[in-house]
Amino acid sequence: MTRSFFTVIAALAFTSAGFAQVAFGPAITATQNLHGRFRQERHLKGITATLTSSGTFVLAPGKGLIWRIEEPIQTITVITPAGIRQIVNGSEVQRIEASRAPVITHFYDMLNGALTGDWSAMHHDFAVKTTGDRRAWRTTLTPLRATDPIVGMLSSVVIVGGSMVDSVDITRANGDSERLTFLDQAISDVPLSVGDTLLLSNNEIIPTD
Amino acid sequence: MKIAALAWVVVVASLSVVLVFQLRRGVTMQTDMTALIPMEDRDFAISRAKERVAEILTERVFLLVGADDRARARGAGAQLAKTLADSGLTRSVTYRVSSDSLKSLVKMYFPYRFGLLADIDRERLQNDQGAQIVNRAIAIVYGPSSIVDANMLRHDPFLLMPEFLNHLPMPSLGLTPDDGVLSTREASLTWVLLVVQVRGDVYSGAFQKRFISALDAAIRQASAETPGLQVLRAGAIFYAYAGAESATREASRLGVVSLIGSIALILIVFRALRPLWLTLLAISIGVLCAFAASLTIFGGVHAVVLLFGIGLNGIAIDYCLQYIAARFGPNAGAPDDRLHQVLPGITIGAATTLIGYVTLMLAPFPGLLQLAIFSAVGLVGSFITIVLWLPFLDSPEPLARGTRILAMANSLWLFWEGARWRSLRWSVIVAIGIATMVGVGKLRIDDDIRHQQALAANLSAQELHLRRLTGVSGGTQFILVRSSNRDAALQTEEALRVRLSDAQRTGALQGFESLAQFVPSIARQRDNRELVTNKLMRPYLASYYQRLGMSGDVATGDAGYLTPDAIGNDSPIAFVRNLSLGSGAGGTTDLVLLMGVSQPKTIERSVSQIPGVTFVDPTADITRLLASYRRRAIILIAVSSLLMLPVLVLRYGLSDGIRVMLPPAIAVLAAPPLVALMGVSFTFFSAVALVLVLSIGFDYGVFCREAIPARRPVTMLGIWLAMVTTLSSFGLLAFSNTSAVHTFGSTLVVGTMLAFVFSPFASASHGTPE
Repeated sequence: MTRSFFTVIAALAFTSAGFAQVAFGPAITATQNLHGRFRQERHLKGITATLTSSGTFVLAPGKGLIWRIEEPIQTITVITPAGIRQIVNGSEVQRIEASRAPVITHFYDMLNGALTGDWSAMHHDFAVKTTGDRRAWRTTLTPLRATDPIVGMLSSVVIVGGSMVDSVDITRANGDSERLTFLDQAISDVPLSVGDTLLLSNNEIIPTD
Repeated sequence: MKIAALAWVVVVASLSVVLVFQLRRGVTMQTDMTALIPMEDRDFAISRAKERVAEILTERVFLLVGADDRARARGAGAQLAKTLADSGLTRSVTYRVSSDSLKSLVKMYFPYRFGLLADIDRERLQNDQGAQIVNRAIAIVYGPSSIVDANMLRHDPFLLMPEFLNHLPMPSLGLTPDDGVLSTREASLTWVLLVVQVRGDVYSGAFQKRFISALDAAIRQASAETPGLQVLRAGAIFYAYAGAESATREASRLGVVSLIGSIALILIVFRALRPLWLTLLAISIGVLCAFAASLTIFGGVHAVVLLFGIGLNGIAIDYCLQYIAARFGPNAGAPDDRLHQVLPGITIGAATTLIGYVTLMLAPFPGLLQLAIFSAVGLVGSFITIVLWLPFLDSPEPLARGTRILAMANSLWLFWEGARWRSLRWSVIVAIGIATMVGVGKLRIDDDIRHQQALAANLSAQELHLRRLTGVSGGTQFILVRSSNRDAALQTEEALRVRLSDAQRTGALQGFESLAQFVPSIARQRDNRELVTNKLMRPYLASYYQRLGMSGDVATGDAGYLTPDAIGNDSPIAFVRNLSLGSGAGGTTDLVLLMGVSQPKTIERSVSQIPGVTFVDPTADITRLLASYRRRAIILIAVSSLLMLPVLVLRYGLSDGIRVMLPPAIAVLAAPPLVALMGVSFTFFSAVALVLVLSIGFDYGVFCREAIPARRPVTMLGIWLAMVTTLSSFGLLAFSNTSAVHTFGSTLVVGTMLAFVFSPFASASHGTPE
């Protein structure tokens, strides 16, 4: 229940990862995938330190997302239509089936929608405002209903990009904020590695790469 | 004679007064099958638990509302939920679980969070794998999907609470909450789930009708606004109503046919209605006496007893028709003379029948005792009415014009007697013999109660579809937990949970619902707290906080322990309160409901090792009950035949007495195999039919044996009439859709026909086909 809220943020962050293709360019096709590096800075109100993490990600339409944190601790988060898994130091520490975290399904609607050009899921929850052109744009998402238990936790999401998404700034209603910066992104026609395919297949086996 | 008849008027009148008085006070019609279990085997706590579980399961109604898009399905679901909630016929309608209600759940648990651990976390701490929990917390805090804030990290640093909430049992596996509504998709359809708890007496036909009409109206209304709407329903209440509906429809249809048949028969034979109402009078007085006696002795009548009791009482028709047919006889004379002509036969017939019925009392089964008293009293009442009243109420003159009818009636006798029928006789006997032998090979015993009731096919299909979509699995099995106090019961359930989870993994069971899954015992909470303090906080907290850049302490608070009382009536888990049957000075009794049990034996073996735990399978219990009743009934049939023999020997001597037993013996032994040829299994209901067949066989045999040659045609006429009436009233039951009734009916038809066909065998000089 509570956990399900986590996922919506992922939804927002990664729908925006596919933003460029949607708003200004061709969508990723089912055989392609988007990969790159990220850096995340999280500011929690009441905690002086900034929680900084960095790593790589792979986003495959219809299959899911692999979010690999390399620093400060090696962590893999896999979000697929079947659910969400977290793997730390090679062992699975958490697995939530999609049936228990409904937002995962919702996330999928948004993600696949964004990748294939169907924005209705996003417009259902947010006011979407875009400025700029395809080389440099800025989109602001504002929740339509502040009372919504999930999207109401956000106060705004600002996505800045060009041919790809460059950064996402999320501000929450409770004053916390985070900034995601994306680097070295590329759309690839090369099939996913065996390890990644295994991760996305929601298999019990955890590849040791 | 006149005085005796008047005295009987007084008796019947006073019995009527008693009956009316009792009826005004309200008669309890017992329907609980456990009331039929022998006293010494009865466990009242289990009976009560069975009632409670039946209630919980019967009150619960699942509706799946489907439309071709999400918004329309949800619109219709919401509308249906509102209409049902406003109908006043429901205790609760669960459609959209509001986020407020989820928040209330979190609020209930939160103060006790360090005593609440998901099983997997508890295991990790017990195995000194606290580091895994720390890693998970870090992964979540840094992870892409985090909403963790400082407040949360202060109160629940290792995020144990979300893990606990995530591992709470889910109501259904196939459905996904979509904005508070449990939903699923199937091809182009979106389905949404409504769970309704009805308010009212779920066993009352009137209430069932009211609820189902209200539901149908609500669905019609929703369909008008959402064309193409589909609604799947599942719930015991629908089966109960459909079952009662079809039984009533069937009973009235069969009843009308049977009544028309009997009236037509009497009209054709007697060309008067009087014999009809004389028969009805004799039987009604019998039922009246039986009813009054049962109410006085037992304080109520069990539905099963009433059903079969009236049937057994119907045998009075045999005696009644012997008397009435006597009007056709040569030298019939006045009513009193006619009575004297048939009196020996019907007295011996009634005496053997009475022995047969009273023998049922020998079994220590309350059901058979009630049945014995009901039928014995009824038989005596009818018999007295025939002997004392019928001669006064009957037409004085004999019927002269019956030659043709009598000749026809006598044809059976001629068939067994005449030289020209010799080869045909043997063919009939050989054919029946071979068919019986083949039937013996096909004879199957089936006590499974689930095969005895007809479930409406349309409802079964809907339920199957609903179960497939929702993953909700049904079942009536449960576990009864009895402990000295509340916490001990919860501790027992925790021990059970380990075994049931194992059973779930091996597929012996699909799911279970217990109180301890939602509220751990205080002992467990205390233990969890110690584990959290010693295996998690102490070794890891400081470095963890340091890594996150936090300082200071965890805000623990001291809230004591969570108990089931904390679950409010409007809590989203309010339904688990149903699982507590009571807690007080006398101890605590809880239920653990089991779903989708596929290996009851395995589960029973595994859980019964835990003290205070009883595995209960109500369906299996009823099946076992039917099996033991069936076995008893068969033994009693044998015993009662032996007990009847002295009466016959006393009157006819040994060899002739045994000869009289031929027709009933053939009927009772050959009927089950012959019925088996039609694919009918042998059940308790067959055995009850055989009790009746035995008595009918004895009656026919005795009547034939008593008849002097001159009275043979008129005796045969009485037997003919009795046979046809029996077939038209009970034989029609063979056409019932309810398996139990069908079995009873077909066994009776075949048995009665055999008894009839072989009845002349009872007569010494003409019985055997030489």
